[in-house]
Amino acid sequence: MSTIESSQWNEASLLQNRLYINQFIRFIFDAPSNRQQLITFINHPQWKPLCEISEGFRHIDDSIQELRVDNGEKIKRLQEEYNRLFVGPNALPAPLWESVYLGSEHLLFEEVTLEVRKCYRQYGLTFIRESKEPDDHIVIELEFLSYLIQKTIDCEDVETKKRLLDDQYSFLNNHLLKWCPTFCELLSKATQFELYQGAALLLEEYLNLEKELIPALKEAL
Amino acid sequence: MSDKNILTKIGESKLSRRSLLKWTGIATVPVIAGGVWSTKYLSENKNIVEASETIVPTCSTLDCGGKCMIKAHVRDGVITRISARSDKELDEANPYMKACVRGRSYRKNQYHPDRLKYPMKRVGKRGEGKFERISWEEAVATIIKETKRITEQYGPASRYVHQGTAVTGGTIGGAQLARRLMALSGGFLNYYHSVSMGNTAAATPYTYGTHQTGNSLDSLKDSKLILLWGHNPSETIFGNTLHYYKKLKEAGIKIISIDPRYSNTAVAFADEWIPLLPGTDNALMDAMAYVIVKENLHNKEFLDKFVVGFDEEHMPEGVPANESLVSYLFGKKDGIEKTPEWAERICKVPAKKITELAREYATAKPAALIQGWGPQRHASGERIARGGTMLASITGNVGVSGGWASGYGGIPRKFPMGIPVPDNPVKESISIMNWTDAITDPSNVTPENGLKDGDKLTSNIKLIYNLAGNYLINQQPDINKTKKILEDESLVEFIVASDHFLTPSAKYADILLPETTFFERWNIGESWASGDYIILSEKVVENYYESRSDYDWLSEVAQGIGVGQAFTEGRDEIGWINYILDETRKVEPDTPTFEEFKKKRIHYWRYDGPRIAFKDQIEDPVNHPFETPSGKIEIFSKRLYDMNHSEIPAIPTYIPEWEGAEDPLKATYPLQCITWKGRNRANSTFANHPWLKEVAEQVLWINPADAEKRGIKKGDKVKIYNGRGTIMIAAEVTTRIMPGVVAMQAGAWYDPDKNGVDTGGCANVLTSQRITPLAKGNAHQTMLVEVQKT
Ligand code: SF4
Repeated sequence: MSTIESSQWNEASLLQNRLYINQFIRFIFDAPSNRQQLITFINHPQWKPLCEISEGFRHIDDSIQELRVDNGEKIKRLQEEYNRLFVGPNALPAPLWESVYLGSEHLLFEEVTLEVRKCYRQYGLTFIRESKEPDDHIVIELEFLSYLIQKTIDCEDVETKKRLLDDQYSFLNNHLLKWCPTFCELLSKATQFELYQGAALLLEEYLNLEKELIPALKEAL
Repeated sequence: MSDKNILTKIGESKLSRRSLLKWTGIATVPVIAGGVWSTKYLSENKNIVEASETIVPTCSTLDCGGKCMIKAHVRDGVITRISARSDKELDEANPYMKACVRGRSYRKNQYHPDRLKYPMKRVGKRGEGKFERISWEEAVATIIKETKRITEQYGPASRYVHQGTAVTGGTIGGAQLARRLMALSGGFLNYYHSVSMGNTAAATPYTYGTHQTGNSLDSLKDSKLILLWGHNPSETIFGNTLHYYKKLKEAGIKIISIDPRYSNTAVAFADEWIPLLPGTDNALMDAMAYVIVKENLHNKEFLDKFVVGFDEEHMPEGVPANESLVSYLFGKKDGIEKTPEWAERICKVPAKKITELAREYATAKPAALIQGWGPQRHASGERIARGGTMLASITGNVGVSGGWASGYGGIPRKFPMGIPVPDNPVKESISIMNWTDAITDPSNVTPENGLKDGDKLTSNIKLIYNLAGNYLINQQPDINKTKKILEDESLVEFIVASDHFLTPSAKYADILLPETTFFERWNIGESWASGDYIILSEKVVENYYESRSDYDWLSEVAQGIGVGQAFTEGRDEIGWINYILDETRKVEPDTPTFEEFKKKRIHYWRYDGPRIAFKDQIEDPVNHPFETPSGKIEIFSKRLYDMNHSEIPAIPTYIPEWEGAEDPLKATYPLQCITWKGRNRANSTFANHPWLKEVAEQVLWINPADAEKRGIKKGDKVKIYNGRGTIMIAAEVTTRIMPGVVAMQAGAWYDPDKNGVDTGGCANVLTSQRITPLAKGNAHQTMLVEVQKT
């Protein structure tokens, strides 16, 4: 690992790494986990170093390591936990939608949901299940952020890049950072499972990282 | 040196710009699942159109009498706000009310984060509440498979569709559709008896030949006095009646509330509140009759002409002496005169007050004694219903504007047709009170205790469809007994439930389905009997997550069990709305077409003048006899007399009820407990609604005298219990409930702790499954309890 010292400002790969973390978080919150996929993650040569730099990843790693020896019981319990936390039918202890935290009535489909929808629309995007399910689910908001990151990677023009970074920054501050800290707190209280406690930590770490990174990236342009 | 050590040395253990840079430098980035993650839920869309706000008038189909037209403000597929009708939209001939606190918060139900989103199958023990998401295909396939299997194995009489009232405010409702499906595919075990008003519906016709004894409420303007006897429309939202009570109050008509509880109706409208012990109504009624007759205030001419059983001169053939009302009142048989003093000891209304009330009622001509449906939900409810009819008859308040015949109070006016349920090939039916016996031991279900049209059941109940209903557990008397039966998976082998939330009843489902709300499907809102209109209940928004209307999935089940075409007749929901309007038009020619209805939204049915029940019978008795065996009003019913049953008197006498004010069981459980319907819920709908919970917290009302004896102060956690169960709840010490009685709001959700003690405040932990003698009905209001500070 001698490359550590030689690391340089490598914008493209930095963006790629943000994308990776963003995608990983979405993967965890999107559906009950699949053991094979989880193992594939931790088997990647870059996994270990990532754990070294993130508390959230370390917890997640611990919980996935547990699954290496599993007759199916452990992954089943993990999946049940996902269902309990995020699917129902019992009351959801840590709802995954922005409006529950920021809406005036703490419901789904509040005014803030429509504001989030507006952000997507400015980029010509619509949520594929619009009006059936709310647009401000954590996974979709993160996907929007990752869409902007990807666009920044692909973009050559400095002005456009700047605008993309501005939009990322305001989406982060006006939405994700406004509700996710409470969500993460609720989640880590609601679950005993290290995977989800780790995910709560990681999400918070990631959003703070973005908050630090985006202005720096803009400055470097 | 390991990687870890290097990093620790540098001190980077949290994700940060610096640490990330280090990681970035390491090597290539891992790729997740082939990159599909870049865009999974967001798609590029060239045709985005910003929709402006539209306002759609619609109507809820909950089991609420209000049937208010409400306005859904919709922007971009989202209901952003609900508003009520404006003052100028009021049509005085057919008034409907303004949206209530529940109506204004419909969004909170619609968009509640806990709403059921996906079909589920049970994975834990039944009732445990563990479910797993499945696809609609799997859910429907399972329902088809189990329905077929159980039908083959146990026969159609093993199939039961339970009471599901949550959408009975609509012309189309899930339970009724399920009955249609069952009737078309071999039959099912049907039940009778309305737990809302079945006792009075069964008893009232013994006096009048019909239960349609109500006048239209516009006629109440002619009243001089109104007695609201256990009637609480402010909280129950009894149709549009509130509209009229407000006006009567403004007009200065005296209103008296007779109720163990100082209800919101009493607070808002009554000039006087007369509390009496629950279930002792007949003692008060009899003493009033005693005063009226003794003081010669009864309407002799009316009694002579129209009534059987008042005195010995007006008795049917073949009845021995001293069975008439007058003989009873003056103790000709039992030696007890039914004086106000006699009644005071029983019902706790002071004798002086009873005398005053009797005089007032008999001399205010006309006066309306209007009975609510709470008192008839007692063990003695049938007698209470007939007691009201007795008072109305002896004072001649029947058939006159401003009077009220009392009893059930139905107003038969114009109604839309429903989707037909064909003849049920299974002929036997049970009282709703028999359904748990029909599961465990059908030989217990006999004609004596409720079986109709047969002498025995041919099968146990093995299959239950429970659609839009919380009666499986929460609203059913004696929850602890019921849940043991349902938990035993060898008894009922398959339960399918559909709902909006995981209600205490839905927890007992094997397949649990997310139902649409009235904002997501087409229906027709039907006003209760006092209102005269229908409102189009339109699909306003997309279905929430994977919810589907019961008509949709039942159609697929019908297909799967081979009656698809017969079930749908090729119609979708709108097709059936058209059908209903077309069928109704054959009876009521002014019924609009669907296209007209879509434009006008509300259709009023008009009449020439108010309806006065029994007007024809009184004005023209020769051509219009009452529909009783004698053709007259029967204070004494020979039919009841011939039943020769100790709890079914031929005249409405006072008989102490079981678990009532005079039951020796009071030595152990000294308090009577009753429940009321609060304005924050429609039955149990909205009980999980945090904001409406704040409107009225679930508490136990207890009088200061009873509280003090037990060392209870306001806000104390108390235990309320009897032989059937225990509830933990906070106490509200208040003089709004009379001594000897405690009360709590009905419909709170049962929420047992690990010892089976309910912490939700659901009164049905305490209620009894014992049936009423005549109707074989429910006595949800009759229970004895003790309360203890914890
Ligand atoms: S709940 Fe009943 S009273 Fe309230 S708005 Fe709806 S229909 Fe009207």
